[in-house]
Amino acid sequence: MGSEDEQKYAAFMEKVKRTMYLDNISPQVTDAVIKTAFEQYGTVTNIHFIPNYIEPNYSGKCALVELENEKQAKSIIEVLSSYPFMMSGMPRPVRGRHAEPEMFDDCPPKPGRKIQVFWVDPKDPQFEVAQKLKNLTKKHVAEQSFLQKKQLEEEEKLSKQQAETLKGHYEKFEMMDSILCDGTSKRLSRFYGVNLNDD
Amino acid sequence: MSQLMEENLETFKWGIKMVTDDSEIKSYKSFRYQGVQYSLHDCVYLYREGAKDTDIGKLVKMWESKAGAKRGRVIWFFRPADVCNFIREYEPSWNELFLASGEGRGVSNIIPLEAIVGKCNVVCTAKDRRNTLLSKSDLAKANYYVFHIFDVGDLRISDKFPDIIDKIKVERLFNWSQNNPKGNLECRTGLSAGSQLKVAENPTNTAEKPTKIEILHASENFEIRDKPKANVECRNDPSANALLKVKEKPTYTAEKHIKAEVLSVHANLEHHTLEAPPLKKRKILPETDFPSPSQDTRRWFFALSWEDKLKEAHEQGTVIHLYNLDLSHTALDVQEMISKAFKVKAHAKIMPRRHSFDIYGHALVIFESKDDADLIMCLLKDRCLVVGEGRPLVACKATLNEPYMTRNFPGHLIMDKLKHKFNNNKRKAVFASHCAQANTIEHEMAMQWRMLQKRSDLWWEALFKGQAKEFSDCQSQMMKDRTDELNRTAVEVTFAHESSDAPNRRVERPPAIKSDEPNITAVEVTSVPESPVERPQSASHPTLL
Repeated sequence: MGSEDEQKYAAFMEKVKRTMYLDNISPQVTDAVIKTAFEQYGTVTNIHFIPNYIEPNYSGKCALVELENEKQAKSIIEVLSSYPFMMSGMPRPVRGRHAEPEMFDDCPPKPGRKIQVFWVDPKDPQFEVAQKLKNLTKKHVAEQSFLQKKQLEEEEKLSKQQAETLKGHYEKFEMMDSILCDGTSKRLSRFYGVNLNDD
Repeated sequence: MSQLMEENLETFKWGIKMVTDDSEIKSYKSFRYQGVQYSLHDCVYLYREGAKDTDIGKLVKMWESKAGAKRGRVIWFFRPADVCNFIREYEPSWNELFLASGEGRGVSNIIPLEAIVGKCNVVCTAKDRRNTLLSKSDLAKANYYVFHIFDVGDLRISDKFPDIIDKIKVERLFNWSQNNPKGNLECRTGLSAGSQLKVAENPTNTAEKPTKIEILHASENFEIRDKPKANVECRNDPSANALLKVKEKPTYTAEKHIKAEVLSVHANLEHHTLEAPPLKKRKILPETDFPSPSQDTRRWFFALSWEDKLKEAHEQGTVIHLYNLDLSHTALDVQEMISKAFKVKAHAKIMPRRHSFDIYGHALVIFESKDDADLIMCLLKDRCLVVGEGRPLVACKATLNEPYMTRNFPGHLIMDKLKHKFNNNKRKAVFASHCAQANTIEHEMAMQWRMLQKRSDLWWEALFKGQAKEFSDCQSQMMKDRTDELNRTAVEVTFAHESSDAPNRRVERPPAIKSDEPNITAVEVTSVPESPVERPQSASHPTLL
């Protein structure tokens, strides 16, 4: 039993090394998209989208992508961190990093561990401290969800700002396009004496 | 007075001439410029127009051309920023440089000597047999240090120095007597002038160097550079109780090495637990003959998938969301805990950790009936169920969301009009995943997102680190109280037949039971085999390992 556990654990850790954790993935991305996206870097053996039950998820989907070997995983992560990589949507780039064992929900137990639990009743001296710890935990969780909200606000702000800029660019290009097409530019060039052709 | 100043600013004066065959080019060993004496193999700061920072190079040749122009050849040192794209895994120190080597552009250049703006103190800390290691004070005085070369052909760093860099013997590039320029000149032939200097060029001299200093330097160097790496690896493996152990023995190893250590430490702890006598007067529930949960659940929940189960359970109100779990716990652990503590069956699933520094593990637990769930919620609220090293479980009714739904994903901009236009004129463009190119609009926007992502990483990290500290402080307080209490009860048990001088007895027992070393007691008395030191706790815990 001992060595089997250890073997399982070792195999699991090996899998962790080959896997990358991606987030900021657009909701429209599917398995097929991820596979084709990375096929230039290596073969994807397994994709697992992490379901998020607990909190409302605004920062895109998260996925654990398993590759053939560690080297491929490393090279993809390098690419993802040096260049902004777009998947099915722009311009928010996909982020990736090495997977950690705690990200897997089917993590086998570390061999040789045992669980200890004990009760602390109100009359015990440590009860107060234990209660304090519990309250601290609750406070921390509240802090985390607050930060998550704030982060979402920032993201939305940036998105709006970029939408504005993009609209501006688009209108500019449209205008340029239209004057080139309908002859206004030719008239203007004659008026100002500017030569339109490149000679 | 003013004449002197003028002299200082503009004077260039050649120093000792080198004897060479070339009659047209006059090579020199030293020169004086702007009041500073430069010699061969000195490291200098060079000014390049338009560059934000000075370049640093090592002078390997100085001469005056036929036309009278003063030229020098420098081998470059790269700053970390110059090569950061090529060295992903290695984190250089702020004052570290990389010596250029290999074949290709960027190793050395001919420069006009007027571009020199100052002298620089660069030491080489490489553990090469041809290199002489300097004393601590020399290292402290240095502006920069070099430990690696950067090969411009391979675009990689390495700590193996080749024999020749740009036709210069690498021995010449290693540490020179920075403080004795005269000795410098004679050193080339292997003599070291100035006996207090430890520098010698000849490899045979280095063998006589006291090896103690070398080792001292080696360990210091490792400490300087390895600390960040060791910490990173430890963070990823919180239940690796080798946290402190790794800090003491830093190495460049892969995870395997740490794993091996962890396994061996576990083996040691197992041994420990077998020796410890089981304590009777504790509130730990004895191991029951309860059928192990894993076998049961297989029979129990065979048909449904987890998602369906969860949906159903949510409707019925039998799901509890537990948090404050240790991150190394698995679903089976949670189920075992529940069965031990409450004697009910449950099916648990761990929610994977989303941020790297989060210290709280979450799990969703489905019970058989609503009553079970309610009862357990009440119990957990009124009393405290503490797991392992002091994590009282906190539970709340789970409020679940659609697992895969992401509402309003900010950041995806769609230009409908654009799509229309293209569809009319050209064939449908297939959208492929790609890396944004640098000169496009989308690249600029992508970079803005990148920055936001980085910032958000930083603020999450700050939050979690603060929380972790608060938590561990509180936790250590609790464990201290607990072991104090256990001391008292243990003493009562073992010395029951003697006089009831419990507090005094405690003091007389072997030093392990001093109140400021609670963990050692923990191992003997409470037989806690699992990761005793998961959190970076106070310094009283290291002896445990």
